[in-house]
Formats: sequence, C-alpha cells, structure tokens
Amino acid sequence: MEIIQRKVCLLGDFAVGKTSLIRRFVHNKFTTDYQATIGVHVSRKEVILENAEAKTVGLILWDLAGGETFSQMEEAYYRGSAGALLVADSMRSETFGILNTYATTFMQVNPEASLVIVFNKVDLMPDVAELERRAKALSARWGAPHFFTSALTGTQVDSAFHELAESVTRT
Amino acid sequence: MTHESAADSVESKELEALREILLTQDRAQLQALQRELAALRIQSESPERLVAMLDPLISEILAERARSHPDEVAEAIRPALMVGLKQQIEKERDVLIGLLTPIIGQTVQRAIAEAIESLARRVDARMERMLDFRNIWWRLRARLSGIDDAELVLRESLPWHPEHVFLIHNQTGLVLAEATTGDILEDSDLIAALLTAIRDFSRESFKGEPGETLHHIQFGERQILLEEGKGAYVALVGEGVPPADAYQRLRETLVTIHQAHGALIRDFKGDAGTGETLTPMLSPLLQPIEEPEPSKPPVLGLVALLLALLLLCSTCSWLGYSASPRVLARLAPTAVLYITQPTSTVTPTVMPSPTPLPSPTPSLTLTSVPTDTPTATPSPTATATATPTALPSSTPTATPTPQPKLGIMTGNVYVRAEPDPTAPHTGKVILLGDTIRILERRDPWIHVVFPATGEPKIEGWIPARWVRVQ
Repeated sequence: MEIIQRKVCLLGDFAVGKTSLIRRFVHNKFTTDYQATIGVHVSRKEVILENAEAKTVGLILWDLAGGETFSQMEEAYYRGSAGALLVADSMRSETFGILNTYATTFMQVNPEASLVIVFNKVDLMPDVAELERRAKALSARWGAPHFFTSALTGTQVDSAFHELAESVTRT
Repeated sequence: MTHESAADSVESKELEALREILLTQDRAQLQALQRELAALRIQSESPERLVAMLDPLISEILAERARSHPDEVAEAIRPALMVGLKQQIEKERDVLIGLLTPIIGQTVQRAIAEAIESLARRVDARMERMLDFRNIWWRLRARLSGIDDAELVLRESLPWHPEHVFLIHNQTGLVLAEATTGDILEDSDLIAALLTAIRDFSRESFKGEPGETLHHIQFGERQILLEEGKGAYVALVGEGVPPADAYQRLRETLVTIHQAHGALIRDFKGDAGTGETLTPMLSPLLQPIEEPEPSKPPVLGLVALLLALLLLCSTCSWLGYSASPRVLARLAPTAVLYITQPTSTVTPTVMPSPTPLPSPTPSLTLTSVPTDTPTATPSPTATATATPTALPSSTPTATPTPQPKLGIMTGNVYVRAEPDPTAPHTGKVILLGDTIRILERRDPWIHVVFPATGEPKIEGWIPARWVRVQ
C-alpha cells in the first residue's frame, strides 16, 4: 500500500485542547493536567484511507503553541503544511473568532491547504444548538467541515483527523 | 457451737495442707514469671537496655535477610544510604578523594593510554602515506597557512564516525531520503520535523544576514552537521570530530542532488518514492574517511616521486639545450606555438618551437607558420601547464566567439560591487544551487550575473571558491 506523508498544523488559542486532541488521536489517552506547549511539539500518526485508492497517510502533526507568545514563529512553522486543524473551545466563545486570524495567516502561507474546524470540549456543553449556528458560519466562511469533539471522551476525534487526512491527500 | 467451730478449724488446716501440697510448685513458677516480667518491663522502658539486648542479634538478622532477600534490603536502605553518602562526601571530601584516587586514577590512566595508543596507530598510518599526492597538496596548503605538519597529522587522525544522513525538504520538513550505517530510524520523520523547527526557530529568533542558517548542533559526542540548499537541506549525524572537508562534501552532494533532481524536490509534497531515487546519492556521505593501509608501502607515492624527479631532470637538461644560441638560431625563425584554452578567448603567444624531444605535456601542438619578422622568446613559459587543447590553426588572429560560461553556486554568497573582500555588499545574495553566468575571472574573484539566462537581476563579484564552473 502506498504511504504518503503530509505536514499538518493544529492551530487555535491557548488551552483549547490542541495537545489533548493529539494525545487522544495518537495515543488514545487523556490527562487532566494542563501544560502549555512551548514552541512546537511534533507527533506522527498513520491514517488508512479506505477510499478508491487505498492509501496510508502519515500525518506529521505540528502542535503549535497557542496565544500570542510564539506568534512571530508562526509563519515559519506553517510553511509547507498541507492542511490545518483549527481548534476552538466550545465553552469559550472568544476562541471562535480568533480562528479567523489563524486561518487567514495560515492560508496566506499555504494557499492550497485544507482546513478542518473543531469545537472541542463538547462533553462540557449542555446544549450545542447555539454552537451549531456559529460553527456553520465559520465552516461556510472557510469552506471547511466542522466537528464537535471531546478529547476527554474521544467523541469525533478520529473523524476530524480522518477528514483532514482525506482532504490533504486531495490537495 | 464450740464443737462446730473446732471441726471447722480442723477442716481448714487440712485444706491448707492440701493446698500446700498441690500449689507450692505453681506458686514458685508464678513468682519466677512475675520477676522475669518485671525485668523485661524495665528493659523495654529503657532504650539503652533494649539496645544492649538486641545488639548482638541485629547484625545476624540483617545478614540473614540480605542473603535471603537482597533486593528488598537494598531498596530499604538505599534512601538512607544515599543521604548518608551525600552528607559524608560533603563533610569529608578529602578523605573520600584520597580513597578513590587510586581507583579512578588507574581507570583514567588506562583509558588515556588506550586513546593515545589508538591515536598513535592512526598517526603512524597517516605518516606512511605522506607521499600520496593528495596529502602532499594538503600539507602544502597547511604549510602556507602556517599549520605545522604534526598538528595537521593530529587533526587528520581524529576519528569521525558518520551514522545517519537525512535529506530534508526545506518547506515541509519531511524526509526526502535517508541513509544510515545501522538500522533505519523509526522516528526519522519526527527527527526531520524537529530539526526543521529548530532551524526555523534559530533563523527567526536571531534574524541574521540573508542566507544565514543553522549549521551545527552538538549533543555530547554526537554532532549534527547541517547544510542548506535551495529546496532541501542535508543533516549528517555522527560521532567524533568531523573532517575538515565535511561541509564541502555536504555542499557538493547537495549541488549534485539539486542539479539532477531539482524538479522532484521542488514539486515534493510528501508522496512516496523519493527515497529510492535520492538515497544512493546520500550514501557516500556515510563512508568513513579513506583509511590508509599501514602494511602496504607507499609504492604509488614513491613511483610518483621518481617520475617527478625524472621530469625535473629532463626539464633541466632541455633548458640547457634550448638556451644554447645555436639551437635558438636554428629554430627561432620558423616556428610559432599557439596554446589555446578550451573555451575562452585565445591570445596567441608567439614563441619559438623549442624542442625536438617528445613533449611532456602532449596537449601542446606545434604549428609551423612562416613569418617575416620572427620574434624569439628564449625561454618557454609556464602557461603550458594548463591542459590546453591544441587547435591547429593557420589563422592565429581569429578570436572565437565567447561562449557563456556557467557555474553552479556551492554556497550562499554575498555579491560585492568590487573584487575585494572589503568592498561593500550589493545587498544581494546568490543561493546555493543557483546557476550563474560568469562574465570575468580575477582570481580569487569571479564577476557574475544571476540568473544565467534572461534579464540579469543580480550582478557583481563573488569569491570563486563558491562556484563550481560547468
């Protein structure tokens, strides 16, 4: 089976759960203690695509530090990415709008890249109706599918990464 | 009543006697036990007495326990032992040093002796091939730079063991190809990505001159040499001291790879198959520096030396012959020698045809041209050593149309306005792997334009050592 490699970035504000999503996806684990990512953390996970051309995609996941601290490095780290997972915290609405900033910068560096939007920590949300409305708006703006995930329970984590793997092999 | 009390008294005495008979022994035992108990109580309430009682037993118990459960005992006493050791070292450092010196000293002595012995073997081997042409050239260069022969041999003898080499895509940080002297690393993708992150971090953090990049990472004995090309960079991981020409070899490999597979690298997105194409080009970087074979005498070197001496003798005798006025008078009026360089413009040099002997440089050609005003140059010029291609020509004045001479950059280099290291930068950098057009050469400088074809965007002078002329 053909194995291809793709670099993808996880982008989003601090403490939205980027590292937890990777930990759940790569190691199927979750921990409650929060440690801020310093600079960048790189992981690798192979995804088998069961489409017409069966392929194995080696996703090289660049988990970038959120927030302002490392913003000057962003463009250098974005370079060469085939796609990005934009991550927001379902409980913190201020983390939704900032995704536009991340997406804009990212697409300037990689105009042909694919995006997938993720609203994490849905296990804490009593009602996702309002969230759904805002998610649709973001999805429409960037032409990107969205997922409601929980790194704690594993809800839709694999689906989101799978979708990203599919889309980066098309670009 | 009196009768009854007398009877009771008799009965009581008898019972007492019976008790005496039955319980005397038990009472004695009970009293003894009470005394022992009292003694134990006194001992247990007094730590000094308790220690005195247990002291003879502790060592026995510990010894027995250590024999039957050594791991448990070690685990139990380790924390106390470590604390005790630390405190003892702090308190009585000198005593400890005095105790350890003989042991450590011997170990260090042995290690140094082995290292020196190994070094001596390498130095001997190097000395044995001193007559190798490459070595002679290398030594000559070192001498001119003021480096002593001994230092040079020592430097060359330091070991270098390359282990892995990665060709990493500049943009994506993905591995294009890799080669290793051992097993292929499972995490090579992660290593490549993190190396790229470190490189980008350094570049962004220390925003230096254009073209500046991370070249070297050291971790203990392990070194990572990095050299960057236009589309990819190479990372060589090894142990020891890299040879002097390590970066030169990396640059040459990068240039060769970019020349041969530039499009493959440019269009790379992570698809499979690049490794098969590119790995064979990386593998030579893992070959150890050619080691001499100490057992073989330097036959080639000796033969080369003899040939050189022979050549020198023939040149000397030829000089003596050609300088004689009789020979000059006979030869000078009739011969013109043209020495032509393969591609550059030709400036005819009029010289006497000096020799009827077979020429030591067979590429020289004599062409006889009758001239009315012969001009004789009595001595041959040294320019004949350039490997010229002789063009028999009856029209020596013809100047061929200059072909554009191209070169490939072997490094990222500033362009200067003048052929002078102190001349100001033009602010432009030509990058490794770029093809340039050479306008003029003034050693050690070259006047170039970039790009080689089309409208020039950069023009200026760069050091010739950064250009591989095509």
